[in-house]
Amino acid sequence: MFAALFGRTIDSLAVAVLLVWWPTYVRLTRGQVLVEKEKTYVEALRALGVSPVRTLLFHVIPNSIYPILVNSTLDFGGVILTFSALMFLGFSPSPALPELGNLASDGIGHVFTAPWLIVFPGLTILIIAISFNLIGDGLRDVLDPRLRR
Amino acid sequence: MGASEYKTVLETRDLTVNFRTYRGEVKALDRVELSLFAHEVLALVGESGCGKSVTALTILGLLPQNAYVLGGQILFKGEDLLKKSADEMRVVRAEEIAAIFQDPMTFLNPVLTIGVQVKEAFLVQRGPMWSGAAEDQTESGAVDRNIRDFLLRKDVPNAQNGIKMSGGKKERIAEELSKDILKLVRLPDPERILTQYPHELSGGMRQRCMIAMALARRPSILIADEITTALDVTVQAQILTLLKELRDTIEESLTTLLITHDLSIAAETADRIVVMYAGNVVEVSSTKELFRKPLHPYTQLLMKCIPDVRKPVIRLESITGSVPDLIEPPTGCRFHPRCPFVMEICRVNKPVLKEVSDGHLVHCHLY
Amino acid sequence: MSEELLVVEDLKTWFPIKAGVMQRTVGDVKAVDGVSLTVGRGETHGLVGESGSGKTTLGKSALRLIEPTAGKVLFDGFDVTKATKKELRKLRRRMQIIYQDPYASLDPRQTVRSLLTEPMRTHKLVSSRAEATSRATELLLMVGLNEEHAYRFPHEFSGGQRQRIAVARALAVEPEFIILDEPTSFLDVSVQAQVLDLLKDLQRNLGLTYVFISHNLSVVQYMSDRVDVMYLGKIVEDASRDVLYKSPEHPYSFYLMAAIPIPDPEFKKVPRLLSGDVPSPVNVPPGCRFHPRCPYATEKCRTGEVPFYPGSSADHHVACHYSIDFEAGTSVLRPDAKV
Repeated sequence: MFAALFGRTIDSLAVAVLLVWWPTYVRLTRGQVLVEKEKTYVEALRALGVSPVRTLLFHVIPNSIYPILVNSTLDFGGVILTFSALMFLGFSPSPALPELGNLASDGIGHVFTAPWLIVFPGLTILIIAISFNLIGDGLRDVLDPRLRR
Repeated sequence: MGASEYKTVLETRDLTVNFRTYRGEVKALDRVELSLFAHEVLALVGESGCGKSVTALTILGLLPQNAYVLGGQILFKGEDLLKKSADEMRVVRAEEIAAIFQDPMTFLNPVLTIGVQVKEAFLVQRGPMWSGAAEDQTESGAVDRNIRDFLLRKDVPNAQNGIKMSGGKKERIAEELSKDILKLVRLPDPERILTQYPHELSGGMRQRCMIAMALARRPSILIADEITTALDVTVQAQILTLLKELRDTIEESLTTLLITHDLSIAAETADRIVVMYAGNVVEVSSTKELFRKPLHPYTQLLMKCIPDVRKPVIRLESITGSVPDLIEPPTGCRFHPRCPFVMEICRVNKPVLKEVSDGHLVHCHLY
Repeated sequence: MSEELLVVEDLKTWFPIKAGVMQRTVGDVKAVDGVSLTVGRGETHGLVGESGSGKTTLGKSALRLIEPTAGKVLFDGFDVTKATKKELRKLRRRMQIIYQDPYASLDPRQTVRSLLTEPMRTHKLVSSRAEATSRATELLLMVGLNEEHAYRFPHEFSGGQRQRIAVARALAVEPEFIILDEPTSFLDVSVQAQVLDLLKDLQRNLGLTYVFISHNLSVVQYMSDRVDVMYLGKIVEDASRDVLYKSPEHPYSFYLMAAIPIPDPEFKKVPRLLSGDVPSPVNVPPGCRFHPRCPYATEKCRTGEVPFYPGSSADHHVACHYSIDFEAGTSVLRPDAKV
């Protein structure tokens, strides 16, 4: 729909994907903040006289974003896949664009004669997605001091 | 009262267990030697990190994935439990060694009524129980419902292999037995409780249900891991009294391993005490003897740390330093950095668990 | 500077229970239901009770970390319950709290240095970063830690050390009064002794006043000068420490004392067990709240509020219509009984 409205540019595709993805993050953030807010250290800060605004900005939010960070790295893979899928399905602005989905859709017609045209782009997408997944896991293990007991 | 007069029900020898963590290997248990005598209540006492829960989990075969047994044996009924497969251990846990842990809510299924869960404890038992129950049938078909007899009747001859009891009959017998066993653990109004869900009961009542479910399996050994830690003191008193009562009632067949960090609980409830520190057994003795003459420096210091309501003091003694990191435990005796009597040899050589007087063992170079 | 640092007058803290589609209030959890007490300057006032007694809620209500529903709290003559936000902020400097769980009460992402200096900066107690850091070091030394600990994170410390950090943080604002909410329950016995002795030393050196909340009666005995026993939102007995532990007069206090495990196997304890379970403050029994479990309860106990009666020693209050001889197991209605 977006493409129809704004033309088939890569930017419009990007905006479309963005509009679909961000509500998840809002929901996640809200959820995390609600959980974090109930924790003892937050009450302790109140007892110390620290202002609620400061508590929110410097304590609650930083502690809430970890799961979101991890989630976002996983999503990198997802976004790439979505882009590729959209391109594959034909929303590509131009057939010459060296984007993975594009390449794959080109290759599909030739799957029996020149299988590498689809196999390699496909494999690349897979590897990229898995890599981001692993990076996300690793990031979480390293960054989250709370998990290191 | 020589130690040799008692029949040993379970024995661990040289038990060594490590945990793999990404910070390193945690040497949780270091050549732990433990003997459980028949019919006794043995308290395994120690602070956090000493390895008491790990010991229980190893005996039960319930160690987490990242743990592995480096060496040693656990001898029970002539077999080494460590050599058993996962399936065999499941049978052991179902019929021989029962365990109760600190938080009943994590062990009771929240969507099933207590009745279903207690009955299940009876119904999962294999052959002998049901053949035995069948044998008890009088001509009119009534079943012996005396729960004490049921619990004491351990080795029911598996003679009547051919008798297959109908499901319905099993259900009814299990229902009656469930009511009786809830009465045994002093739960008021057992009929009503059988219809209730775990969250409708209080902490103390849930713990009693756990004890009932454990006893229903007619185990030879009951392991109670910090079962009163989460309970209020008046409820704790009730549960501990119950344990002592059960020991006296089911004396013939029950041995209890009570794990606690509270020496006072051990003083009131146990016949013998094993003190653990940082993965080692440091002292073993009868309860009376331990309090009269604690030998290991750690035991001595620990006793001085506990405030005694009858004798208030101005200042509590404490043990300097803190529990060591078991990834890089101290060399030689693991207690040496905090020991007021430390000698050169303590830093270099590990002591051996030695019998100093009848039934009283110590793990220390002082002796 | 009054001698009575904290005065609580008929404090009630109720939590509404909402149910139904419209989330209407169908009842209240009467966590604290009419509590009055006085804490003298420099004393340690113990508050004992089991779960559901309301002791933690009482402590937090006095600090207005939980808003009380009714009643008054006077700190040094000043009405805390009516304080404005600004006044409350200033009061927070003088009244502090140490929590039970050392793993949860510290922000895991803050360095110890930041943990300690933040309250200082909030209350403008220091004028430069250097001053803050040096004061933080002072605090660390005061609680038995060292300078280099300032650059570490909470998860790098043991439970006992974290509690020390929590104490240092509370001291950073230079309070006069600290509520200690089960400060050693999560700690090992050997560490508990260290922390308790630290608290005692600090009290002596800094002239602090404590309210010590715990379910562990032996620890309360070690720390307190006066003790209040709470049951289901009310105080049932108030006495000096020695009197309460030697000769409690309220049946609940008596059974509580009887339940404490004694670290002496030779001591023949007469088993005195309280039947039933610790109740929840959702369904508060009418009359004396303890009557359903009390072996001495009579008809008179089932209705009407129970006031404080004088105990057998000075400054001893007992909320029971009867004088009970626990050894003999007999009870006699008090002559001034209001039933």
